[in-house]
Amino acid sequence: MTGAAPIANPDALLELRAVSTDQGAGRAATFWRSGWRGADAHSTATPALDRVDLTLTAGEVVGLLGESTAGGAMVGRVAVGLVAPCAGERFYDGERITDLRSAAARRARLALQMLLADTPGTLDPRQRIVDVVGEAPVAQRLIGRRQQVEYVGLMLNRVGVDPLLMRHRPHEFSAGQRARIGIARAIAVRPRVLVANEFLAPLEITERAQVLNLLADLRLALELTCLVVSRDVATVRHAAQRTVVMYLGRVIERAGTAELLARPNHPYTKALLAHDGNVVPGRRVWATHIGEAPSPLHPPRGCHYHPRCPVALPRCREVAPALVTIAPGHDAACHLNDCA
Amino acid sequence: MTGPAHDPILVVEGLCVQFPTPAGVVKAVDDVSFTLARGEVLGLVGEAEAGKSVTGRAVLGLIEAPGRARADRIVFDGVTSFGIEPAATRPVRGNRICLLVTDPLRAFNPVVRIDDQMIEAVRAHDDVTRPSGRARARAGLVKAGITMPDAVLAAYPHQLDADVGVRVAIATALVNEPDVLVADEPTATLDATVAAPILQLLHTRVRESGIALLWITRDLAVAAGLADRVGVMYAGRIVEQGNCQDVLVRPAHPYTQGLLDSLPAPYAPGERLRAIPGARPAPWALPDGCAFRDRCAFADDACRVVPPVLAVGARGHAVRCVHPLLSLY
Repeated sequence: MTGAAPIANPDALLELRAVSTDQGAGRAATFWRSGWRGADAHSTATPALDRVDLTLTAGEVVGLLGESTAGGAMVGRVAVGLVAPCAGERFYDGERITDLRSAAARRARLALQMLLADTPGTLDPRQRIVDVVGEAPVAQRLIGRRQQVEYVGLMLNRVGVDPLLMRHRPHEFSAGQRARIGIARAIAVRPRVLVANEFLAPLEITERAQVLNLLADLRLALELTCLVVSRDVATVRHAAQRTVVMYLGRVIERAGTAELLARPNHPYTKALLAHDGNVVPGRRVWATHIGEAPSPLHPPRGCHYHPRCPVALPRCREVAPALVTIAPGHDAACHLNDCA
Repeated sequence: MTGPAHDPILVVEGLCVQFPTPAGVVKAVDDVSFTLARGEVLGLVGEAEAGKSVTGRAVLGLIEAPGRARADRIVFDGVTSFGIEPAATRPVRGNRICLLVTDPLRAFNPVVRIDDQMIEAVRAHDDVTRPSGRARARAGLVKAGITMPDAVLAAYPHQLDADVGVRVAIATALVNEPDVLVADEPTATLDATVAAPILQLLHTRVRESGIALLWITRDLAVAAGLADRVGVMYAGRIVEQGNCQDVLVRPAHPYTQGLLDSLPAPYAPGERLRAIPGARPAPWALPDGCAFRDRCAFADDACRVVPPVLAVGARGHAVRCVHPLLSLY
């Protein structure tokens, strides 16, 4: 996995290898997300990524599961190139992305697109939808300026928004429609990889179901590869073939989704899976963590999870466990596996 | 349904709230009726704009002009016209019936320390000295699971983490030991693993002290776990009401069924979700008759004539539909 020579994994369309970021990386993005409220900056602070490996094979959907402090959203930003990692390599389609120049680099950037959660600021409030969706393909010369209206109409049809509304501005649409416009904007530049960063979380239940169906259709029609960053177990279970679980900037477990749900290994994964979103009348008991989530700015020593872990060993306080293979295609980072 | 229903502490009948807007009059809440017994948890579920939060605020008489609230009857523990007459509402609100709002940290005054705000809540309704008010606030924080109550008391709201903020809000709401708590998605902004212990705490507190809880949420899984009974709201009306088992396992209203079908959890991975088609109607231009009819697979001409009435069946299972999915009797 950690070969010294930077040679791309031939099966991977997109690969992140031992990617790390600084504590303050993406500060601008955090600032933006927090809506310019300085007081909130600490609660949305991004944890440093610590040697995160991630492989996306063409055509698959990978889920990135974790709480808001896990760093999944940061992995998404690094994956599409919004944040430069301070260490580690990114590969796209067999090439190291930092080696790419001009036209090839531009193609790689266009091929990696992101779907953002509907916070104010993901769609320019002063732009009309025809420009929100059509600006990038015109600027990138994928289409001519004269074709813009027709092309945007095509894209809006695809995502189920009435093309007659393309002269309207984002605030005139509901959250569900804005999500669809966000999808149209992303697919307008003909990407090969879509990174959905907490994309479905702000949507209402019925809108979310519609958009999940839409994304499934588009993925097949456009042969997209997807990375779904979410804190919702049910969404990841539904959409992803493989799942990566993160905690405070580290990958702690990864496996096929079915395998992970059936045989979770890491204590954190087990705790997370208790919140499966099933409607069970009279459940009355909620799986509880010990203590509060630690600040991502001051992660604990050793295994990041040890202060909340019900089965922590003395060693967990000192040494961070490595990600080891515990079954075919199933890796976990927990000291409990050392004893077994 | 079990015991407590015979002793309602809060009765709401025919609650309507309207807001005039440039686009037209918004009927945010239309003919909402429910009862809440001591020690009972009623979940109010639905999507955005369903009227859940407005219902909660109207019950406490917190609808401000130009909005208008009226009701056939709101009785809180013998106090009639509660929530409508300010004079009847004022001494009881914050004392015997309290509100817990979404993102509670932002409901605190940002430039006043937590201790002053909590002591004010105590002294507004009880003639006690500041030190004893502070002692009660501190005891309340400890009961809300806060490990360092003195540090929290000395803090300003922005210095607290989101989950601590929710606990402080719970402590403040419960500091006067109310009979009824109206909770409007206080944990909506938290991660599920962080919200879980808070839900557990609230559940324990409510069950131990016999507080009646009106739990407003869009999270069906949380409502199912916490509540004895649920009311499902759509476009300002309660479309279905009854105990959790009836409403969330064998729903009678097509909208309730659609909501449950929209959750990915019960499906096989990758299976297509049976999503409700279309979008909710604009709140200022609700269709005549049943507001859900444009999205409903069972709708016909009978649905467009008059708004269906809430028909009550066995075990108090009530549904507002001309073509219910199952007979209630």
